[in-house]
Amino acid sequence: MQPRSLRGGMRKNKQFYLIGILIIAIIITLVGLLELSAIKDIFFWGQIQRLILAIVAGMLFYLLPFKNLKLLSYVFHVLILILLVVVLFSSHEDVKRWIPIGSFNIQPSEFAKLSLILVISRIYAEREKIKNSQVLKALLVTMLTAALVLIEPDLATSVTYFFIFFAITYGVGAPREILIPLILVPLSALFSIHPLLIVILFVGTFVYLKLRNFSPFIILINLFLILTVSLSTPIIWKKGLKEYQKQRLTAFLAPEKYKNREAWQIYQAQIALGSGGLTGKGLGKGTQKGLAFLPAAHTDFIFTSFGEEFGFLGTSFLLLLYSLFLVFILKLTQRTGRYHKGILLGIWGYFFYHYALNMAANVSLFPVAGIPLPFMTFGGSHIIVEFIMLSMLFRILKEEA
Amino acid sequence: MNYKGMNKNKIFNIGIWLVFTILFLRLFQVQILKHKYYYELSLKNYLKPLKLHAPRGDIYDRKGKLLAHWEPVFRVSLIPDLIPPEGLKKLKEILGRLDVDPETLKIKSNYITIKTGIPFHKALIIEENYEEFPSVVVDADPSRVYYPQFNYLSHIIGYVGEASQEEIEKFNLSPGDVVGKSGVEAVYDTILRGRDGYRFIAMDSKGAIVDLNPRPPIPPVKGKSLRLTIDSDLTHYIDSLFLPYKKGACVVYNPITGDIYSLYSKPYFGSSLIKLRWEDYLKDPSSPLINRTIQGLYPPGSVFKPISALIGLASGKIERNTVFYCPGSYRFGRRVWKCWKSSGHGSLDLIQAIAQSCDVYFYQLGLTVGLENFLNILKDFRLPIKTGIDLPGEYQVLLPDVDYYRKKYGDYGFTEGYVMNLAIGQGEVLLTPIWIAVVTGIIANRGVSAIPHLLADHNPGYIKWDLPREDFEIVREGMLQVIKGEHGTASFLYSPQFSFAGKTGTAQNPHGKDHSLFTCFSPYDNPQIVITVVVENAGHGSEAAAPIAAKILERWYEKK
Repeated sequence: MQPRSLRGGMRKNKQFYLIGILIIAIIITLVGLLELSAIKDIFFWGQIQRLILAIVAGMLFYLLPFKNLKLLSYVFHVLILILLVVVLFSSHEDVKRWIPIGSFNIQPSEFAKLSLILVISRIYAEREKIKNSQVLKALLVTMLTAALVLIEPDLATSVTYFFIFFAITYGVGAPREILIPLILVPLSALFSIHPLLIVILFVGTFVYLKLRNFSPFIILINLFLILTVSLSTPIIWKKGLKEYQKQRLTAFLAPEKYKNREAWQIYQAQIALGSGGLTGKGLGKGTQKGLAFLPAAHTDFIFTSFGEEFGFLGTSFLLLLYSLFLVFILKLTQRTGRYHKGILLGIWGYFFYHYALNMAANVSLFPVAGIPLPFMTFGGSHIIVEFIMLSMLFRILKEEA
Repeated sequence: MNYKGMNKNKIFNIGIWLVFTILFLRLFQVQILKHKYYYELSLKNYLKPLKLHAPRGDIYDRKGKLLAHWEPVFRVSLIPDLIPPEGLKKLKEILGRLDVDPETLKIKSNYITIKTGIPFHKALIIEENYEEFPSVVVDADPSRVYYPQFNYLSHIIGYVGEASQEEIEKFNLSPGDVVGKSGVEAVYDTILRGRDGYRFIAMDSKGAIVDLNPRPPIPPVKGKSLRLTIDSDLTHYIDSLFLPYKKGACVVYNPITGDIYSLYSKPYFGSSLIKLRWEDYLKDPSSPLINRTIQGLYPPGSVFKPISALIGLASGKIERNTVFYCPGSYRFGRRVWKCWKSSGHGSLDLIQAIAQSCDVYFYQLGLTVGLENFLNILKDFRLPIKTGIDLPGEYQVLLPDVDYYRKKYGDYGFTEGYVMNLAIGQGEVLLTPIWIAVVTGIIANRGVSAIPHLLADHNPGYIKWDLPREDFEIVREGMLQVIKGEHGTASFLYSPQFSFAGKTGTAQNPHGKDHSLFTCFSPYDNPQIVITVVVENAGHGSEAAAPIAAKILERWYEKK
């Protein structure tokens, strides 16, 4: 037991961080609205509608005790999974991601992120000490969810689930012997772009495991894993990826070369961002965005479109806000119960992944993956999810009191 | 447990700040370091420059009469990349044949003018259906205007046309730009052309025009105007004098200043009609496109006799008082060479020989000098083979030398008798009217004459002929006697009002009637004007050419 005063101080700190989180979220939301208003009025008013929905959803969730959520988490997730199956039968030709309801398109894969966090957190809250079997159970749920989304297809979102899974699993302190292979899988896939990288990973893993005194059996399994994944990745790349996904990758790797075709988007985004300079061209004066050279200005490239008009000062300010937002969420995880901690880590994982990947794509450090920028990108589903997450942060603090 | 939790948060925090640093540095690179580069690209993205052609400079005659001007006409420009194939097809249907076919261009992302000079109603049709033709702009373009009443000046003024691939590379132009193709338009093209400007058009990525004037245009600078030495009234008068004749040429020029008052070549074309009637002009057997004053090579006939006389004097074997007898013909070898006057001239000195253009005298002069000697002296005179007039395409005259004869007839294929033909200006010699005029000027001014030129207030220099002054005086006097002498070949033109000296010539023409030639200068003591007239197929020099020259001179004195 901590001394009472200390606990009180901790709580006060957390209140401070929570208010910080809220203020940052509001600022970013307003910036997003401002930018949307400069793009097209219908985006602005559409986003206002979605925001109202999101705030209402957030308030409703605030009323819901986690005790009940914990009980219902499986039910929620199963419902979402059913929706994910339903989506596959939608009438969209190429990409089946949305369920149209009235004038809105519901994207179940976004809500799956929320329910997955709840399910995983619940799994890890089952026992005092986390066992490998719990990790495997959480992994299975994640894989099932990811598999359904992968069929849509939506590679980037399915990877989100794994990232959330990792963030929670690592954060709550899962045993190392199960964490290591889990990390090795994505690393091997990533390093498969060059044989030398695979060799480095292979040797590095071997040395690390040996130093940590793991049994020869575990070492063997891990090394085998590296080889299997890294060798099969290029085959999956060739056969598994859709044409548009390959185009995005080739475009990312050589934007100048393909500037008139596949890379038009990221090439024009670079021009938009770069032409903004230090102070930007001013709200509504972005020529790249305004004259339709920059595609998806209100969705994938809203950050770029903001950067063209507000310049380096604007973009680095936004960068700082997102970073502080993430730091503050981490602060909330201190001295919380396992269940709450799992949820907090899941939320952190969600925001970190979305912010990092979207921004990286905007500055051409990563292929365009269609990941929304939290609070800014035009769209209902992710905004609702994000506001529910915000309200959960408040609920957690309330329940801890 | 707490410590462990802290440790994990630390790794997450490192992740946050790592991502922050990477993104921050990347943004710094793109937005600050490479800002200029991307800014230029963004301008290029939506600002498209459209060339504004500078109006060409006007062309005036020496009295300030406007000979060539410009006027705005409608033009159609577009960016080939942005025009869909159906749009282009429709444009071609509306406009007919395009000046520049966008499909043939290498660079298709910039504005190009595809047609100039379209009528108003077509401009309207295109403007009304602008949505079908993304990027299309219809605006005014300066176009060269020539006046049909000055068609007789077309050889001098020349004409403009669309720049060829060669010219585009040479002058750094774009397809569709206009350059001077002949006449002073070509010679002084860089002066007349001016500096093209640009306007900018803002368009979105699909080629829809969002702003026609997003940035101040760079205005074109009109080309400098030219004043020519030409007297258009005088040339008009000359044109009327040539009315009875089909073909001919006339040069009126000042040997002191080099000013060309008239450079007349008949038949002529029309600068304003060149595009329309190009094929006709090419097919016309009378070759209206040829400027006979600088491109007509004529056997000079007796007009050459003053030069023969100078050769005789230079040889030292002929003097002013050298007398030969003309019985009407001259026997050399087995052949009898006739004089143009079959009754004969009797005994003549050099001056009378020139005045009466006695062939027999010049046969004997040539024989006295000797063929080889004659040719060598002519070569030693170092007369230029071109006058250097500021017009493109001047032909070289043909002044034969010994090598020429050897090449043409073989080392022993020509006999001494050839000098007889040469001495009377028949045979191998071929001269242009402008060259005859310049040499007349040199004789008139006793050894020097200005290089003829068309650009006013301009002195390109002099052509000199280094001979003793007395030699020139002898020939001058002979030429004076042509008019003034009782038996002069053009004595009927004598006028007490002004003094002038000249020389008639009849060039034998194997294809038809002889060409009539006359060259003269005036006044005798202090020559100010040289007139050379060639009338094709008009017979003896005194019949057609000389009266024309006299009339020109008369008028020149009237207006003075």
